[in-house]
Amino acid sequence: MFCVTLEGCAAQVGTAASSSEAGGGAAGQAAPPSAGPTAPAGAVPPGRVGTPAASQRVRFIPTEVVLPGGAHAPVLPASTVNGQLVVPEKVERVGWWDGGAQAGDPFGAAVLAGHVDSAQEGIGFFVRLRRVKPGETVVLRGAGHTASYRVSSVESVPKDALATTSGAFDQTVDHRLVLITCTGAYDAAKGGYEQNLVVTAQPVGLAR
Amino acid sequence: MRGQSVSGQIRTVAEGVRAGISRMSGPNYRRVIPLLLAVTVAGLSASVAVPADAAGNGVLNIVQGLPGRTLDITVDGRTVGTGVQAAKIVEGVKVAAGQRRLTAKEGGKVVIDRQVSVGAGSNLDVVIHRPASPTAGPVITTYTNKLTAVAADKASVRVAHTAAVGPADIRVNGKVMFANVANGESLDVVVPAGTYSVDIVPTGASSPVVLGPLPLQVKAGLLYRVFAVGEPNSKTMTVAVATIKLPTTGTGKPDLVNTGTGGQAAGMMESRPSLLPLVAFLAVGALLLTVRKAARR
Repeated sequence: MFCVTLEGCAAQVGTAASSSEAGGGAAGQAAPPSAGPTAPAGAVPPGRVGTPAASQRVRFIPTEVVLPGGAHAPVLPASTVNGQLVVPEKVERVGWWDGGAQAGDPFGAAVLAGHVDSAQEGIGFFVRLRRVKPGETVVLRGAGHTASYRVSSVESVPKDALATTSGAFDQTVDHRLVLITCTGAYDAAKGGYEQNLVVTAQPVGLAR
Repeated sequence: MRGQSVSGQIRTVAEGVRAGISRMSGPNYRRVIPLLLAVTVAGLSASVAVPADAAGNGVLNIVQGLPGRTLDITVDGRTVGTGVQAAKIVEGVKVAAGQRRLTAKEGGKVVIDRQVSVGAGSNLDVVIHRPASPTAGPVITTYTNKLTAVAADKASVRVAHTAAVGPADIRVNGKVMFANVANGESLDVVVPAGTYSVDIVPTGASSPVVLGPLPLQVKAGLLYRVFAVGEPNSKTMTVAVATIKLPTTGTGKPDLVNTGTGGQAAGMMESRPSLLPLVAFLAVGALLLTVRKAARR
């Protein structure tokens, strides 16, 4: 055993050599030493505990979205399944893509998507996206935090351009909020709209 | 993001050297430019956190942040590292939870001797470093590694100010990402994988640059722990970096967002300023029909 100091070579049952302790790997599975001798209380001062600086960023998963004018809806995490983003079935709820940024992150789009309508329930909350204009404010809330965003663009993109060229899901860009629903001509035979409505909004200050 | 070529390597000190980390050694691989250090973590194989079970154990990673010193480090009298040089990290030291005594000596003389609180199941970075004051003795500051899952293609980065300098701004790609960080404080952030140019300046200023700019290559699925150590006056500023694998959460980018399956909204024009006229029109129409029906009876 590597007990080079005389202070504590009390029974260290099952301890692997110190080298493999430090080296980790398979040897790291060795049983830990029994609690070695510690100094009498008060004899050895405590080390410090690092604290977050005041400028620590807040990040949170949104659970509520508030559109310009005050209409608000619950937000639930939404996953991509078989290539499709599965948004909440209830059309009064909106989904947050779980692979995107959280509100307050420094990079990446936080993406919310919701029904403009559905066969089961009719008109959805995100029909309101059609009336959103650049310059207006959208707010995300969650876990006691708030993040505000100012709409910078409202665009209609062909559905197959959403994932390929629109950049809506990009995570390497500066942080932004992207709100997506459907728009354009409705094709009853296909059961869907031809376009996606993509509202992009830039963060106003930091999440708090 | 600038993709500068990088050289040099962060080496961890471990007597049982983990494969893939320490092939390189010697000054050949460290190109030191005054005020500019090129540092890579590309050669680093990420450590999987040594399991710290709930049965009352924790894991310590001890960062030697004292420039010019070579330390022999013990935990409760058990040697965990000898000849540990500045910016080296002794990783994966498994200890029992509770108060652990960490002692660092140089040439047999005690350099620092402190109690460190270790929670059961915790993974801690224990940094031996200089406080801000140039005349004060070394201190030990402990940071908890939070092993929370991140989305695919992302990494978590925690930067700790453990250098002998006053409050600083930490800049990423030229922009202040964290302002007024004091000695002992840390910040964490989740970023997409990529290479970031990081530098540290006195808070509120843009010069003299305390450290960097240096490229930090960030790979997905890892927690990067970055420690600024050293002292500007003696030109010993550098970084120590280590990583821990993180679990992944979330799903990939979708190809399709199909959020209109009923078509009921199709009749509403995007330019219509308000739904109210439409609703009113329909209501009046419904009323007229009802009235006419009643009249026919």
